[in-house]
Amino acid sequence: MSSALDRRHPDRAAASPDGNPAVDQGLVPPWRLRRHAAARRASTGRSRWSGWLYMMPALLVYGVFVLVPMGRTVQYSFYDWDGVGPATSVGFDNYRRVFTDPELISTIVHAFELLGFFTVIPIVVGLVVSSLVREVATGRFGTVARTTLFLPQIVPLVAAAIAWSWMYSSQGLVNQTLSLVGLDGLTRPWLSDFTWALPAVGLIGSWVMTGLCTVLFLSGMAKIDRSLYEAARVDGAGPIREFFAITLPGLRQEIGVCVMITIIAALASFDVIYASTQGGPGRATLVPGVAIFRLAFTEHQVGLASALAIVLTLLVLACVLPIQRLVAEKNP
Amino acid sequence: MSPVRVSRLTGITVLVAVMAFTMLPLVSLLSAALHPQGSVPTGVAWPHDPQWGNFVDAWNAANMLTLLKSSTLIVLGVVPAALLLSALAGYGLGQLRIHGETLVLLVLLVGLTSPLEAKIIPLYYQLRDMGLLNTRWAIILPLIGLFMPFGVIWMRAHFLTVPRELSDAAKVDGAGTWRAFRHIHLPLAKPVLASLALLLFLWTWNQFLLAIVLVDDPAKRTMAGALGYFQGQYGTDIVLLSAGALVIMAPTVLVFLLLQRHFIRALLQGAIKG
Amino acid sequence: MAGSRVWGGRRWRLTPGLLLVHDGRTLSGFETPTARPDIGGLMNRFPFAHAYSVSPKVSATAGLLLTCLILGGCGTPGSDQPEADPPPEVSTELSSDEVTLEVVAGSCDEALMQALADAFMEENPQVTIDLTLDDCTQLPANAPRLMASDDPPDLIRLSTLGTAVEDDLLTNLDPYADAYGWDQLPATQLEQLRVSDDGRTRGSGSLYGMPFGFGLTGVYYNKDKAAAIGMNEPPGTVEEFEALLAASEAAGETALMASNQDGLVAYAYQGLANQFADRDALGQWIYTAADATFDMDGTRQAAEDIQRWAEEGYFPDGVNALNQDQVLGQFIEGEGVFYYSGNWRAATLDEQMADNVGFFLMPPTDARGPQVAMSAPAGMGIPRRSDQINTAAFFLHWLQSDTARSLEVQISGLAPAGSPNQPTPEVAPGSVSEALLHAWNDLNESDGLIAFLADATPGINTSALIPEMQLLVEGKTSPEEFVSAVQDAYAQELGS
Repeated sequence: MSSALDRRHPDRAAASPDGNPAVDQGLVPPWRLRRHAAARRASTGRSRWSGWLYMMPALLVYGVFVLVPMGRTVQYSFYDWDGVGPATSVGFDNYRRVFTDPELISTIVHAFELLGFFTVIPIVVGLVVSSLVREVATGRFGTVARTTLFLPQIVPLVAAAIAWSWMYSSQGLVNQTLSLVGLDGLTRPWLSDFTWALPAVGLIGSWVMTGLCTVLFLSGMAKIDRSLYEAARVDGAGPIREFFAITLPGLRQEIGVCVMITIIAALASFDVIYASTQGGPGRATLVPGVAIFRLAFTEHQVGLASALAIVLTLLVLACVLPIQRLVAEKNP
Repeated sequence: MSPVRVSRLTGITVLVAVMAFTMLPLVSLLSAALHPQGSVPTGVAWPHDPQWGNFVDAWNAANMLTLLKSSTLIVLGVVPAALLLSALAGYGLGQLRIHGETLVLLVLLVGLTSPLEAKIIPLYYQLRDMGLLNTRWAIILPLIGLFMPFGVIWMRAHFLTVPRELSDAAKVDGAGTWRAFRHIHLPLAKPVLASLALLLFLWTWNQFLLAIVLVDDPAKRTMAGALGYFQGQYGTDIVLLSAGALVIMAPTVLVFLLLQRHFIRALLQGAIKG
Repeated sequence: MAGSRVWGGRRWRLTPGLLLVHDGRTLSGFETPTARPDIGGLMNRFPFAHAYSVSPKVSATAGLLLTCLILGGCGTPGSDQPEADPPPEVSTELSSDEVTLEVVAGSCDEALMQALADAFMEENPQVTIDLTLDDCTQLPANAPRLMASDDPPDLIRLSTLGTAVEDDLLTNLDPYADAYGWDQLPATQLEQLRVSDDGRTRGSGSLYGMPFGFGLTGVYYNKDKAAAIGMNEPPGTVEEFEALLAASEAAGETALMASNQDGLVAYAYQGLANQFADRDALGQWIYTAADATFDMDGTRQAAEDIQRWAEEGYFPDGVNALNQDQVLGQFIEGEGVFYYSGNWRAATLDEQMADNVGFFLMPPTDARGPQVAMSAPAGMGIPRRSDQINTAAFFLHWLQSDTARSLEVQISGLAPAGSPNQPTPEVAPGSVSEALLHAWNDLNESDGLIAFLADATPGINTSALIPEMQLLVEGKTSPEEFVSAVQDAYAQELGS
């Protein structure tokens, strides 16, 4: 058998990348794998259908409470409905409004602005911090550190919003600190300021996400082969080179996961904004999540809310999938 | 100082700084909560006369026992069911293998990445038609459904690693898939299930949007939902609000502190194995 | 190990996933948690993306669309509202059976509602009142859903009727009005609780709610500070009022206390709009009459004036960050000369500021012009599907009893429900409560009442009035844009 495999099979060059590097590297011809698979399938034919039986309960609940609602959201988005009376079909009108109404467009813009705070800052800070503390985050101290850094993920987002709202208020910690260092002129009610409300809310998101990313990266770093660093040091690489050449690539998966989680958190954000600014002042912090809630349940415009929800979903997918692809592709 | 000492010192300083930044909002809440009620504290300042009684008042005002009961009931409704369904489905996908696995995974992916806002509107009308609005079931049932993608994929990942030989051996012994599941795979999966349980507990307890849309009565919401109501009621009294927020946060934080190793491990599985 | 073989010097194994594994590490890139160190389930969120050649993005979108199309189904979303039981026989007698009334009110009405409930239960021990409080700003928006639910409350606070009648959510109270004699009350009192046959236009038609009091707005003033800036008597015209504001600002005081986090600069705004615009036209707009529009010269001019007042610094600093409770507290502490609010604050102000607080209605543009003030009945309605309609109606009638009237005036400062011919509840002479009661009676006679802008539709306040008022005060929108934004939101919500 090995002799057949040792020979480079003529099919190999023609075979498209299988996703299976064993095939790509010419170690195993694809047809051989398929034969194995077929043989295997034949022997486990019966359990292939019982597998579905085991899946049914989960798929049922999922279907009823997730897929059907999603389908209905799509359906609602083509109607003008106040949620109580009869509905009128309006075709793509709602979608047109989502893309032409400046208020609704601004919500999407705000969501993307939040990306900087929910994603970029936590990842950058997480990378920097974990690189710096890699050595010291061990033992008892390390456990305490990890626990502390994880707290923002444990605390309900509403509570985080309340805590930060208080810090941002006219008498809160932020203004108090500014006064202490003599920057009295900069004090203001941050969450009511048209320019600073969104960054302020974004910072809440940074607070929530940074700990998670840091701990994730710390654990990811623990898996990177020490010998790589030693080799690099021998070659004369400084800490910066080490970081970019070894740490960063080694953390690819973790970064990917972090990016994914934070992007979804940023674009779909609701809790934090609802509990802190409600979208104000004016509409400066209005994000799609809050707009959808308000349109559907306060302003009784269910169709428009549904259209915005679908647009939001597509946006999330559009952001998340390429990242996933990017992270996955370079894997060995 | 040697470079190593410097780098250690930098490391410790940075870490302590980040930890302090993390704790800051909570400390600020604490200091506000200890001031006399009705007053407006300034920033973070330990009051001369810490009013620990405010926590008792907040406990009563928020009706904490009812809230605890409600959240616990919801968790008890969600987590065991979600665990069971995830384990079953994960087993089906991971061990038994099915045709159309790709399609199933795709379908699950849809639910995993789409935001809750895309589902909440019809969920409201659906639950209203079922007559479940304003009951705890309105939170429990959708949550089980919402947790399915993550749970199923999590359990599938585990079941994929269990060698086929185990199932084959069981089959040889005459056990059907169910017996194999109950007596072999489920016990094996206990640690994985435990991690999943911790995560689902946390996410249920902190669920906010579902609670405020589907349940008006704060006594039937999750803790986070009830906190939203508490904020609506006492929003202008920062002292009481801070005390209430801390009291409402306390259970989750306590559970986390007690089980923090397991919590963190649940999410960082495999780090040690590296 | 069964099924493993040696290739290229390494021991390979075929896993159930049809992937080759060696030494516990996959080559295909598919991650298994124990095979390659990874972050538990998080890594497995997208496990299949590596193993298949179709772009995950395409397949996911396809999956999404497919699923949605399959499950979206046909058919119009619409109300499958179960038919309500036919209304019970109208009875003005309270049965002696034990009965529970579920009442939903706003958290800002807590003190009064609790007192009313307690008093009612004392007089009628067989009735238990189950009081639930909802957030005050959210209740107008939540009310339709609460009423449409399967287990609606028996009484619900309605600050605006919105589309509740059109959607058939409320009990028609005409039979009770006949039985109890409510139509003997002054017409203007119950105007806002009436809806015409088209189900939408308010201001006339069948009765759908009854009040536990009436709000009335106007300007409170700090007597000491007003005297200090030279105010001898309340201003007789808008111009005089503005001059007083300017004098206050010049004296270094906050001229006009108001909160705008909750958009309540709208009180001052409407105070002006009532005078500048045609009052009837404005009233019709609030009542969502067909062809009514907010786009009028008067509304624009009022917006201009408010913006000018903001620029001149008449409002407190950071007004967009203040809510009404904070501003009340500050005014009581002695900040500000004038404070635009309503009679629901009168009791507190009398208590806290004793003789130092006075009241006057917003003056007209012309010294002999009619005075107009915003007023609204603090109305409660009976959801159609309540099972205690007769008892609820009895409670509504009881709100006009002497006991209830005293409570209404004393606890909340609202003008009491019921006929002006009934004995006036006691108020301290010289207090603002007294001034407000007099103003109420006067305006009733001169027909000088108008509803609040925020009551036009359930959503107009949060969707347009609050954000636009915040923008207006900061100078981030023009008066024209303000008016058209409000009109647009109004039109959108009414679906016209």
